[in-house]
Amino acid sequence: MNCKNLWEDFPIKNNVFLALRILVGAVFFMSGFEKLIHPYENFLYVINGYEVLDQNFAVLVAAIFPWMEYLAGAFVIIGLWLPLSLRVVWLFTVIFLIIVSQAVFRSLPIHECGCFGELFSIPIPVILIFDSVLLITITLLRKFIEKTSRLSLDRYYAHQSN
Amino acid sequence: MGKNIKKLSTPRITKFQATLLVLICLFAIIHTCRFVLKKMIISGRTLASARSIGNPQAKIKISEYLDFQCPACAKGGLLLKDYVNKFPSQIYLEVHYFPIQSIHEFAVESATYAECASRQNKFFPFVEKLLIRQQEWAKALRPESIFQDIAKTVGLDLDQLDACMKDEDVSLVIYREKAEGKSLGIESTPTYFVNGKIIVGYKALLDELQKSLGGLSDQK
Repeated sequence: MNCKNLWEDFPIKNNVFLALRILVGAVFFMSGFEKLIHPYENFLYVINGYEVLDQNFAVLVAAIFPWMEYLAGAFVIIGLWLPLSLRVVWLFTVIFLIIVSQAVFRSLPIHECGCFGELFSIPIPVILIFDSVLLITITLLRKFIEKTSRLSLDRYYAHQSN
Repeated sequence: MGKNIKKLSTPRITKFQATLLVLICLFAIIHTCRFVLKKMIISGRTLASARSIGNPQAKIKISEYLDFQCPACAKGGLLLKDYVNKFPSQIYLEVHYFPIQSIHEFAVESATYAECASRQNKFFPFVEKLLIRQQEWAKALRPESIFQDIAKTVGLDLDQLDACMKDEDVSLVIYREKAEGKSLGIESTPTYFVNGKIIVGYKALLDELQKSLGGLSDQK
């Protein structure tokens, strides 16, 4: 058995996109979950730190955004409405990148991003790298949607309708 | 038998029904977690010890969770002092420790000094000086001399202070209050509870106090 055959027989080859999909979904699911179980004022404080939204809009975003993160993350994990869910998390990642980048550019006194609430404390430079990797991963998942939708509810329903 | 197996493999619910079911489950998970946390919060509140000032029957009751090395906490703490001085009958303030040692090197040490000052009934004078001189001791390599200087200024018994600094019960009080704060949903400092409503950050506190009592320069 040569190296090529070993790779082809190895189950990871078939499941790498599935694993990445679950990982990406889990990131958003946990991030949203952590914000939702704690008072929304904590996230409002984080949003205000970035100085991009006026107070009323910031309150609205602090109340709604964690729900969207949580739901989109869960839908990515189980693979329900996968193309739409991936588009949503891709858009969120782009927004995070823009907001964090402007904070770095303006030298705002933010020591950590507040992205995962109390769960993890990630410094701003690290989060820029993390978000960039996340964005590339989600782009790949969207590009190879056939492989990504392995063991998804979307595929289950697609098979049933055929 | 084979017919039955085939029957089981066909979806019993449509994709839209599955979506609805998933949404209901996800909402239920969050509401259950919130409910459990709320129960923990109620039990945690009864354990909270307090360093308090003002009128216990006041219409505005504030619980303050702060880290003495956090700049926004210094601003918030001094703002509250001014408000308590101006409206002593209308405010009741409790101060709790929430040191974040991962980002503030002297957070626990300063809280220990403050707790020892409270044991000599000099908590508020000590904390006021501590917050005013925050920039000075936060940048120092060894801030003990500054803490000692503040202790002398407010008239603490230094022998008692030294003994208290070695008392393990003091750090237990500090860490217990931090744990209680976490169970209340606190993630950052300063966080306040104004009549039970959570307020995070100095600006939000200022807005809330101005809304409830007016500005410090207003005539009442």
